Amino acid sequence: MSTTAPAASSGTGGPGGPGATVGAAGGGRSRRVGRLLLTRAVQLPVVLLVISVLTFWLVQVVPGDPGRNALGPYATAEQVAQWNTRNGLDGPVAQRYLHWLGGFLTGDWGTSLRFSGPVRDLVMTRLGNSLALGLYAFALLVPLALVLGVVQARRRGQRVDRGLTIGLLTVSAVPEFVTGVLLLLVLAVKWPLFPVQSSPDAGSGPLEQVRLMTLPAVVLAVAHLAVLARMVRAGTIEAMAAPFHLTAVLKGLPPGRVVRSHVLRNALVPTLSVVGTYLGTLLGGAAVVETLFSYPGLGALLVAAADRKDVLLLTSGVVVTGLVSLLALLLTDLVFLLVDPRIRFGGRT
Amino acid sequence: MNPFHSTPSAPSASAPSTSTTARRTLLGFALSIPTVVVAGCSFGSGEAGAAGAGGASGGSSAGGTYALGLAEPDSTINPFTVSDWNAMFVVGLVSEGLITQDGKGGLVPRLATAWEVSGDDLTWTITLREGATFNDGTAVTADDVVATFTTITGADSLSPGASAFKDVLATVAPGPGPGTVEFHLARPYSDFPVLLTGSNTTILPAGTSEQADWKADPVGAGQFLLTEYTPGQGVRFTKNPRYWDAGNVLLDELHVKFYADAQAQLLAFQAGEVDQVAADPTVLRTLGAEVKQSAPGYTKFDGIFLDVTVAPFTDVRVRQAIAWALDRDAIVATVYGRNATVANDALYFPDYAVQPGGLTQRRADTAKVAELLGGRRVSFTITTVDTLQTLAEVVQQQLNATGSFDVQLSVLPSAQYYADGADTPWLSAPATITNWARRLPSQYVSQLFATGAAWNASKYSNPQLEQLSAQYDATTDPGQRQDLADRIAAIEWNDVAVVVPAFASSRLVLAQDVEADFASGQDFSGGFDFRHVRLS
Repeated sequence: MSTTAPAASSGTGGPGGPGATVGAAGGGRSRRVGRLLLTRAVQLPVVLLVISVLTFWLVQVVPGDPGRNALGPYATAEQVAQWNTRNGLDGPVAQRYLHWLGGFLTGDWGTSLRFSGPVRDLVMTRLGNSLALGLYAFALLVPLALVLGVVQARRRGQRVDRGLTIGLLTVSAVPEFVTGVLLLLVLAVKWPLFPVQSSPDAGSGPLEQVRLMTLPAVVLAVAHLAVLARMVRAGTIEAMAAPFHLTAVLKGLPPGRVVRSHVLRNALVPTLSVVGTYLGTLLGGAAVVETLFSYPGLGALLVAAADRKDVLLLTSGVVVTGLVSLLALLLTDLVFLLVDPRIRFGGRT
Repeated sequence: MNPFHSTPSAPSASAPSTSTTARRTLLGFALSIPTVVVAGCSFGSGEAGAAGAGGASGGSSAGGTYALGLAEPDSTINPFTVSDWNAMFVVGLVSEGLITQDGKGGLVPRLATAWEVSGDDLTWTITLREGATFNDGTAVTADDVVATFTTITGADSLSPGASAFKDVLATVAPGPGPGTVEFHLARPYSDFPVLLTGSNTTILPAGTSEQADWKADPVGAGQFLLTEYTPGQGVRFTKNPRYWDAGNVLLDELHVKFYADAQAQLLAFQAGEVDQVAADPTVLRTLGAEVKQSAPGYTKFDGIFLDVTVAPFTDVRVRQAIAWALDRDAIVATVYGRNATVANDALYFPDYAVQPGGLTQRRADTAKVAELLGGRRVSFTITTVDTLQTLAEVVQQQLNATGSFDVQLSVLPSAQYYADGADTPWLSAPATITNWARRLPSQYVSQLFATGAAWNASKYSNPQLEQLSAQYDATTDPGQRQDLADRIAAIEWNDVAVVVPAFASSRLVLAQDVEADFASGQDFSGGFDFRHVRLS
């Protein structure tokens, strides 16, 4: 087992995380991966349990009544109380939570109050849709951010760099729903290349599904583009200032190969942390964009559940969303280990 | 800091090591996920559909496929318990009631072909349409009608429609002749057939539970079959070939798509994804005045309820001053986009058969306001729900502009405004603005003004008014009904327990290829009637 150097302090916008240390490259990588997985395996259930407790409890204290939501303002108070009783909503909160937890762990997630269907089917179907949309957005975002960031770094201080900086910051300052509406007006109403409602038919083929998801995916990608491109730019500039870059240039390597083989990989290390965070965000469902485009994703489902105090649906959905986000971050950490073997996680060295 | 997200510190400069197969594999796998998942994702259950984007019209036969947008239904999809309009729409396309109303409030026979009252005015006999069947092929019988209304009015009923029959309907039973049903009333009620057009009254097979997930087995006797319901996306309907008037249902299919809000529906209409959109002021401004519109149908009123037991509203002159301070024409124009008619603080919708006379139409009159208040300046807060914020703001501005009022607003989200409990804002705040669906004049008396009524937000009590209303219900003589209506309206106009600035109507903007108009506004009492509608 190799010894590690003291942990470096994290800089602004740069890397630095709990227990992450940098050490000399060497063996033991698989051991480190195993330790990381073991640690997460212990932490993850605890965090999800806390999330579920908080969600279940918060639903109880916000204004509104599921029975009233279901029966409307013209039902009597007695009818509302009876509806709540029939739907198992009148017992102690702790008892109902434990009942939900037991069911959740055994695969019975209950029935949605609002949609009158199995919670599990609803959540998993919507999760699949959100994963598809998130990955599509991710596939648009990352390559574009890499290209823009590298171009800016190589043209640092020039007109292209300044122009892209202004453009990206301008775009990032516009809220998602504004960007979305503008895209709808242009690409769905004026030139109907894409639909206003991004809900596909069950029989839609893969190409049609991609077409339906394009506008929301573009909006999601654009929302994160500026920060990611800036991270790539900063990392690239730092790598190009390093001695190994000068060595590579002096050796006479072609510029493209210098960037690909020497600059980009080092530049990506600090960017990966942001990429991981965005991946979790994108995969967990984007409520605003999904709602705007009527896209049947998990984010929109959770908004509907929260709006109507659909406690079983909301709690199950939030836990699943949390799980997806945490797994995305774990994947990021694993990629860190593979990209930069000097990285250590945890307190031990 | 997220404990699951460890960010490494910046690496010191060093030459990168050679990539290993494992790393290449993992990175390659990570980058390939988007393609694999996007290509293989599933968007929910349901049959394969044919609707593409960018055009609502379709279908191969004469009628075509009609598309429209709704908000996602808020309530359980069950005809007995539906409470929001979107859910009622879904239910109303598949199921059918005994009677509906046309655009002018006239009664239209549907599953019932005739109705008559006994000599003592206590029994209404309904004759069912011969040959009418549910969409599963079983006949619509008197037993089904009896079971439906027994469920609605039962002691343990959860149906919001139960309140319409409270203290009116005693029992319901099969009639003496074949295909007849008898409704035995607790008191004479001349408008009883109108109650059969209300929400939650579509006829369902005997044995249908109000707890059932009806959309999983959507049996009804309506014009369409529910073929696919996808939460968050929409509903697909096909024509019901067993409908009793199937020859006049010209559409092959009807697609409902769920949109987040009115703006999204407008965009969808502009893009040709749907064939209709509600003609609200924003829509009309955007699309221009030269669009094809449906005939209007009255739907609701937004009333300003004043608690007569709480100062300053204990003084009837204050209530009257508020009523005289409103510029109702401006409210109709700005708040309702002219989809409304000026009202006069008496609860008789303009399409109701009897219209009270002899009342001075209230208009904005600052001098009258000052005279009634005797130079006082009255301060109070109006509490309302966020969906009525525009009306509340206009009312606030108009009242404050008189110089006699200092009005503040408290706008609450729906869940908070209609929250249960003794202190629920919509029933306990001193001044509230609440919308009420179109109902019978005597229903408003019994539910809003009667002593101890559950929804008496004004805490108003007037035995004379209740007595006159009961007399009105009991008589069928046109002259007596007119006289009683005049007296009831005069009391409502004078006492002003609720200020009614306008009666709102709904209107649709229709796509140019929609042929024929709707027999009534798209609402429950109109039966969501799509007969004769087709796409060119």
